[in-house]
Amino acid sequence: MYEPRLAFIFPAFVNEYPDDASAILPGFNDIFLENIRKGSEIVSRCIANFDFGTRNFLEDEAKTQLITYIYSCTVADMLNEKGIKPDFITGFSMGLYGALYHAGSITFGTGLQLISKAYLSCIRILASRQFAMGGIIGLSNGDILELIEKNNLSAEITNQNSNVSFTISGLYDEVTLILEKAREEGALHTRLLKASIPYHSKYMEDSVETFEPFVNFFEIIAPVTPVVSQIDQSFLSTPELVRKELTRNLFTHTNWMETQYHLSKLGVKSFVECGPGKNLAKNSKFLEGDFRFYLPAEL
Amino acid sequence: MAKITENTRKEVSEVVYQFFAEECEVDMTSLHDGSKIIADLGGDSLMLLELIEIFKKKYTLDIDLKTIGKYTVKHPVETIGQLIDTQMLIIEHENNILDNQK
Repeated sequence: MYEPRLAFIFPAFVNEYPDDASAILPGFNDIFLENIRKGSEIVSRCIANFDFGTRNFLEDEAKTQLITYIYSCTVADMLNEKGIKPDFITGFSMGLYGALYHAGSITFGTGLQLISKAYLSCIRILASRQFAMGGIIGLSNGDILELIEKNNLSAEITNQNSNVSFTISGLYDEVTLILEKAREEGALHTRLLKASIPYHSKYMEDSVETFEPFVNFFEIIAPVTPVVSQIDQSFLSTPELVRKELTRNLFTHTNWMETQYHLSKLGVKSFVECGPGKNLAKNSKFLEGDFRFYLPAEL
Repeated sequence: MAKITENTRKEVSEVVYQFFAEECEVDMTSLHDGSKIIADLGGDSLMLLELIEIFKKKYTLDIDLKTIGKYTVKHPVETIGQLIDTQMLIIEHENNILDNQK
């Protein structure tokens, strides 16, 4: 059995889904598909035809975010029904919405609408320029910053997963150039992420103009379960802090490594990745600490 | 620099096979040196990184990750067999592995 304290972590948008939905949690598939149906009535994007077999939404970033959110909320709700309640909650990147939903700060429908609007707000300011995000494994923060500086680029390190795993965001040509140079420099692996929006970078600052009024339109209450910011590891303890986080999350650097270490310092020994895939659990193997990741079915 | 014995390759192979069987949830008997880590097993780069760390500890190796990265640019690791070969070279040459490229 898991040890206290327990943290639920919500992934961003995931492209890996299990072949057998029944293995996630008993009864998961029925509840998930019902939530998909409810979700498709709230947002105009067609997500109703989700299929674990065809995974027909994966080429659409907005749909992938919505599906991941619904999947994560379903998992967390089902664990809650089993009496498994986290001491802390946090969201990885766009996983913030699922974290806030499970913390009782926003409703299921508000989360869906915020995801859709955030996406549209970001897309609107990209204009005709092409952007990208990339992952680099095997170089240090200093190595990557040196590559950016040496090549006179404006791309940014927008997340740190561990001492040797980073996410970069920026103009497509710059991101691809950095990935190429990083490999030459000795990165073990580089890859372009399936994202055309440079989340957490300065390019997204103008999204405030349209997204902030939208965030202010919704009722947001103080989280019932403490939510930790992936940006600065603070507690999002008031509605005002939640609103600020929702807005700045689009254009501010994040640090997953520091967030997990912070939770560890708070006494968390058990983590559950409430979503499809195991990326955060895999990443945690490169962080030091006395903690363990559980699959939802293991609890 | 670790001492290579006739058992070293066997040890490395056992660790690698067991690792992929567990991580990729496949029967060890279905694995072979030609199994492609990403295409056949659904593996990823984090698994390679984890294996490197396992062997660094097991053989107390002095090797920079960047050196391995530079080596694998020229000698890509796609299969289990290639991974074992590379790991053997790392154990034998550690940070001098780049001086021993074919």
